[in-house]
Amino acid sequence: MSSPVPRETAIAVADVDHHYGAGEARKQALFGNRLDVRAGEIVIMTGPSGSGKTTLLTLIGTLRSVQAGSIRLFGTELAGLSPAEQVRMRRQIGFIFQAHNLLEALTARQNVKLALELSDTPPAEHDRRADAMLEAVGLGHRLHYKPRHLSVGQRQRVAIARALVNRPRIVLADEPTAALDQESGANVVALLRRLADDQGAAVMIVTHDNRILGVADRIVNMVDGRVVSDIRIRETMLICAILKQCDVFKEMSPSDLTDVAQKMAEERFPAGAAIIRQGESGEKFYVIAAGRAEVRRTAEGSAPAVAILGAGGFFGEVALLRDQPRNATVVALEPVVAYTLAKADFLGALRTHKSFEDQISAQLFHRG
Amino acid sequence: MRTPLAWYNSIEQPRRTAAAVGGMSFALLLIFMQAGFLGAARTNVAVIYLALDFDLVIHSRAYLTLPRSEPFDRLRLNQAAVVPGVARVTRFLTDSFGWRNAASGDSAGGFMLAVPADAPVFLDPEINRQLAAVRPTLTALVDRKSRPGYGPWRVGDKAVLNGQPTLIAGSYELGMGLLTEGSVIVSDETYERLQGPWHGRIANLGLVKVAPGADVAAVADALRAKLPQDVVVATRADIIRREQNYFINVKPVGIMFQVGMVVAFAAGAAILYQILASEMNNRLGEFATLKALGYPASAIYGIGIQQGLIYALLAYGPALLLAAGFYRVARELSGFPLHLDLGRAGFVLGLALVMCAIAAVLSLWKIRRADPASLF
Ligand SMILES: Nc1ncnc2c1ncn2[C@@H]1O[C@H](COP(=O)(O)OP(=O)(O)O)[C@@H](O)[C@H]1O
Ligand SMILES: [Mg+2]
Repeated sequence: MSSPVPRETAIAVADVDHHYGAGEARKQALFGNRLDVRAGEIVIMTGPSGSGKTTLLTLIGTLRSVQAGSIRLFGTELAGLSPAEQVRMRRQIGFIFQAHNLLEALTARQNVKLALELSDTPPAEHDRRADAMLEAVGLGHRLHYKPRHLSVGQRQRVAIARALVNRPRIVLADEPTAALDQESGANVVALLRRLADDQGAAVMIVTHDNRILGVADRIVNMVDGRVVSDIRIRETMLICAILKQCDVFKEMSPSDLTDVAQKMAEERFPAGAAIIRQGESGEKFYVIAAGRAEVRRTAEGSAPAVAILGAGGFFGEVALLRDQPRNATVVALEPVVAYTLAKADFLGALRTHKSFEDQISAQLFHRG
Repeated sequence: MRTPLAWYNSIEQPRRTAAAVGGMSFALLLIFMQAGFLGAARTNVAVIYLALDFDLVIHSRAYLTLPRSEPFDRLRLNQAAVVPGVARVTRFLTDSFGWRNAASGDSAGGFMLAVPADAPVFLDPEINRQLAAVRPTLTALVDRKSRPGYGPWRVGDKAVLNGQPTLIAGSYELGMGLLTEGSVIVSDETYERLQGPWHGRIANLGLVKVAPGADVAAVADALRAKLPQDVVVATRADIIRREQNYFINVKPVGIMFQVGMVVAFAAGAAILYQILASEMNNRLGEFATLKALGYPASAIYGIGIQQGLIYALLAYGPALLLAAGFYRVARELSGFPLHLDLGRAGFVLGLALVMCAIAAVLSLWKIRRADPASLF
């Protein structure tokens, strides 16, 4: 049996409804929403004004109480938290608001320290940590400036430093780049990307700024209080790049490639795990994104290695095409990240793409 | 929160802080002045009693206050003198008189105090020592703290008291403050000459000193049992309290000071509330941000309370200094016993803190409206 290791789910939204007002004025803003965000992911939320993006973000951020449904942050249920527990929960979240919301009377460093003072960081470290964070957003030379002496972009970067200084595992941002020029916007987004990549933070950004779509792992579109689409952009692009390395997919048009990629799911295997076993029935097609695996075929009691597969290597197609049991075992030599395509999707892709079919036939002939 | 945010907020809004501190300072200064006058009046109204050495006092049943003390038959003093436990009974006479400066012609009013020339009943040894000097008739000791209306005079000059030339045989320091313009001390014989011979039969007060070791209350009871109903026996503390009560709670002057204090207090609290509330209002967004960062509501209320405290304490300093200055000026101009003691400084500081507490509590409800969900 394979044992996939999915990344931790940071934000799990299930069946969340939300109403504003009471009595006659009662109005539903969210309808049965579901959304999972994994650690390390950046999710961009878009949608027309009034579609409920902000409402969903404030619920996830424990700035509002969950009325119906469930929201879990790293496993902790938000529904039913007491106000004191909500306050404690907020300390684990970095908020970036459209308006910078800095404290006017405090310098950049003091603003950032305000967040540090809520953490376990020893007080002796506060100045150093605050300065390092401001350095990281390019404001090392503005430590002692008050907000009114900073440009709009600099203020927003101080706010971001404040949101990130405690290395939150969840970052929620509402239009963080709206007030920024192209370059500052790009810097901010790059900073968020680094936080997600290096520290495995889950980042949700509400934005209409399509200049920053490029950093997103996923784009979630909301309309009328519902999530209507959830596109895994970054992963899809990653899979396309890998698929392009495979001989079988080389000839596919970008749009067909994207269709295939979107149907694929990520699976992870630790070193030594058997990804498929000879003799089992085949249900999936595999493409290796990272790591190496060994193909073994049992013949007369011994199981010699017949091939080593690396990134871009694929396997599992024979059983699907011939509707036969697996003819070999594939074992991960290192931790392996693979993308899998279910049998039906694999056969569907095959049918719509002639050259793909030819390639596969050639492969089959080759592998016997 | 380690960052002293309330302090930074105060310096960041120097104009608002100055308005709060200025308004509060003024209110506190008013309270200082009213309290000062009230306290000085308390001392002032009893100034004569406070200068005399006695344990018990005998006065007429019709007695209202010392300047308006009904006289009684001096025979009562003889009756009192034989009561066991009484060491000494001194006849005390007082009435207002007219002063005219023989050299300059300045004229003014004042109180004439009279005791027998051989009775050292004053607490101030300087006065007791000089009583011998007023043994000859038509001689007097004059209060150096009498108002400038007395004109320039020196010991050895003559002054005209109630129309009769009198030798100034000595001087002392007492000060009548608001009661009247000045005072003189004479012998009982001179008093009868200056105020009219029928005073020979009366006394205004009998000052009783009990024998060493005798119980004051027991002696008072014995005196009451012995003396007819036309006189009353009171202890030193009783008569001083009665004198102060008459002035502070019955006469409009005392009531005026008290009302003034209440008004100044209310005005100070109102000013502080206004400014604190507008400060809180202007910073609602910042408070909401603090809530979003994960600060509990209590920390944010704390900022409001600290802000009030900062205003109150900043206002207290200047008010204290100004009050000390004004007290001094008033003391020098009127001889009124205005003193800035620790008790009064503490009392006004306490009032400032109460003002701050009231204003803070009233303005804190605004903070409750700071909603972090409104930031997105
Ligand atoms: N505080 C509120 N009180 C009442 N209705 C609200 C409030 N906030 C938002 N709404 C309503 O809820 C719906 C969703 O709003 P919102 O979450 O702000 O959408 P978006 O952020 O996508 O523009 C809108 O119809 C809006 O009018
Ligand atoms: Mg919105």
